[in-house]
Amino acid sequence: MILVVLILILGALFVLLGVRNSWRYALQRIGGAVLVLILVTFGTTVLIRQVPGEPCEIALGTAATPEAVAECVDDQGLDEGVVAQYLTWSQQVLIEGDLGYAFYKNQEPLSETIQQRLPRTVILFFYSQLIALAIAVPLGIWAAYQAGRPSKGIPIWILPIIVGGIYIYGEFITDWLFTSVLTLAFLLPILIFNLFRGGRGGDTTVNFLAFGLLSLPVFVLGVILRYAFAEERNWFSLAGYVPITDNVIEHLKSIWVPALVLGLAAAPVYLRLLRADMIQNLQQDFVSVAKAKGMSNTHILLRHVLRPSTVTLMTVLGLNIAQLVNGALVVEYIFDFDGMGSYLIEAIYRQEFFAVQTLVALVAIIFVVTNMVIDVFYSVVDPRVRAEAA
Amino acid sequence: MTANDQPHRDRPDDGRPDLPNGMMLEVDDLTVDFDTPSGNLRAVDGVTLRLAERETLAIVGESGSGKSVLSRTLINLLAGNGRRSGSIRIGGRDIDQLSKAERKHFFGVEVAMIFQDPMTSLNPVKRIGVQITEAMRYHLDLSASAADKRALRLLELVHIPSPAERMKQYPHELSGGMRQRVVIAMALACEPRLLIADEPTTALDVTVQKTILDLLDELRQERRMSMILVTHDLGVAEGRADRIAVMYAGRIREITTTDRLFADMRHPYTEALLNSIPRPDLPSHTRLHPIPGRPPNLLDPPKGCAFAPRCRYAQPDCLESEPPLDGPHGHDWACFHPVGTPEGAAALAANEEAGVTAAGLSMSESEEEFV
Ligand SMILES: Nc1ncnc2c1ncn2[C@@H]1O[C@H](COP(=O)(O)OP(=O)(O)OP(=O)(O)O)[C@@H](O)[C@H]1O
Ligand code: SF4
Ligand SMILES: [Mg+2]
Repeated sequence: MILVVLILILGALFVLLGVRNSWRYALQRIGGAVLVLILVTFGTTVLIRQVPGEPCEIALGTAATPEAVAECVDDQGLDEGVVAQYLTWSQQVLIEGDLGYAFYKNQEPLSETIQQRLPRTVILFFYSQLIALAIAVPLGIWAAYQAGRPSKGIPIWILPIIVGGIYIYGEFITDWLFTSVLTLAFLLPILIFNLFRGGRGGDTTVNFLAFGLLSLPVFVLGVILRYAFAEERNWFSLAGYVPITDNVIEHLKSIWVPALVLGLAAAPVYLRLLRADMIQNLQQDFVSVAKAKGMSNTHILLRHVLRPSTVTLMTVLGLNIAQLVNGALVVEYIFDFDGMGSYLIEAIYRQEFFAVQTLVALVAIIFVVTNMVIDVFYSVVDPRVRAEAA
Repeated sequence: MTANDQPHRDRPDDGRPDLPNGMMLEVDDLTVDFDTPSGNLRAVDGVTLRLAERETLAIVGESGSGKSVLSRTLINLLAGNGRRSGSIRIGGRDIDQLSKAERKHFFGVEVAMIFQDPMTSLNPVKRIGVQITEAMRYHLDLSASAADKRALRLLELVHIPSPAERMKQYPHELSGGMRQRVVIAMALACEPRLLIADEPTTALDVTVQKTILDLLDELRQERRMSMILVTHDLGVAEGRADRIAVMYAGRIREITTTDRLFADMRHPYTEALLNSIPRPDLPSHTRLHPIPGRPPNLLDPPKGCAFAPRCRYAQPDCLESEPPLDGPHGHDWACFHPVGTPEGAAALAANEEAGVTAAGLSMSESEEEFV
């Protein structure tokens, strides 16, 4: 049923975009997606059962009688083979759409947990990608533009020397806030000068910042920012997620730091990809033609070069949807954020086989669907893809 | 009807000021250097040019002689690693002295350019219509519908069938010839007085070449444009240009009217170039003679005349100093032993006698040129 609707929607989209053989293409894509879904969930089913432990004992608690545990094992079919268990589960979840309980009927229905937690993670992911793009797109465009011009900036190797110098000096001050302010007071003018004074130095500076950010692990950044914004001062609330409909300010206070951490992790990757594509496209003849037509630099960058340069960026953005749970896992854990990531950790911890299977299936579906949307996006960006798609 | 609606209006009453001394383009001592990992590369070396209103000047030369760099420099397109010296005046205005406001609507309006490869000259992700109209909207401040109307006329002008449909198409839906027509229409959009065409037909097949060149001729007459036609094909230059400049290793080696060049060429390179192409006025079985050797390495140019290593006339003095570009009655050449002069004949005779030129080129190797 859902499949038919998906095929119809996708097919209609392709028809609208003028892709040749739209329907066959849509059918192929959905068929592939179903195959991926089956492989991923079956793989999870097999793997999760390799983890030692007795899920029924965990689910029923220490006070449970052996009879209750035996009844649970029987009820959940845990004594059957993996394939039989998988078939039962897929019949119930994938075909009938009944998500059941987290593990056993003494727990909350899984659909309720998902309903409550998935939107949080999706919103977190959405904000983080907004932040990442807000950083990456302007800086990527700027860096690519600067890369083709003579260098005029202050050499970048000065930066580590300054930071190192201040750090040594900072040993004696021991006030980290003062030290950071001092560092910034030196760094920012140089960075800003390099960024705007332009030339290839501006590009080097952007790359330097990108690599710096890239080499900073998410959990380190997370722990530092948690300390700085949630513990030292009260700019971020650890009290739990507040929906945007309740109070916009409180909502933002309950989500902005983890979103920033995820965004800062993704930004340098997006920046580098966009920059590389832009630099390549800026070499194209049609850019010379546009310049010869006397079009302004802004017009050329934004109207001619940006759009064809977003293809790699969008591909990776689509793949990053996997981060929806993966990246969120770490960040949600650090910030005590009750989303899907932290729930998945708990579920694995408590050996809630069926919940894990269902969550993995859910992530796979989201992943596959967003990547189909990205596919459609290719043909929006590049009319030549439309003709070739089938 | 506003003036902007009329792409065909005649030049004399188009409201633009007359050119001082009738010169469309004045280039003085233009030099372009590129900073490369292996050192400085001088791609254009002291080029001085005059182009009158409505005149067509062909620039010919082998690959790598600096034709593209020169033409791109004229329209202010210099790669990031390039430096330019010398002055360029277009329509009497020095392009370095333009105010910011003048500059904004100068390139693309006063002077426009057509590039070598129509396959890559158009942005693959933008509709033809948008690409033609964007310059008009930007420079002439036309409304979308006025610009569309003008674009339609331009497409008709360059003989594109069913222009209204083409406007909505993307470049990959058009053939090479059609794309080059679009590129030409784009260049003409703001009615430039000077058109620079950098090998506009090289990437096209022969039958299309002729129609595109005919089209350019026709437009030039109609619009009273001046044109710089870059080509490596002397045959193309012969049929289309009023004057021809022969370029070699970044310098102009000979420049004069087309008739004079073919009837009375002076530079050995011009002669060699002519012998290397098929000529309709010679019997069809005449052998072609490729020029021996290769153009010089511009990173490390030889002392003296840059053509010397390949020149059948080369004498010891050619290896010492660079011959100046000079000559009588609007026919300039840069050679110490010019073709068709007693000095040239003497030099050739001496070299044939010795069997080798002063630069070490074996005369027998290149002898077949005179079979
Ligand atoms: N951006 C650049 N950096 C370094 N060298 C360059 C650059 N652009 C051009 N050159 C060099 O300048 C010289 C002249 O090149 P140009 O493209 O003008 O030749 P051309 O006469 O147009 O040849 P063709 O007939 O192949 O188009 C070549 O040696 C080329 O390698
Ligand atoms: S004769 Fe001498 S100066 Fe003239 S082209 Fe040959 S080498 Fe150059
Ligand atoms: Mg060229």
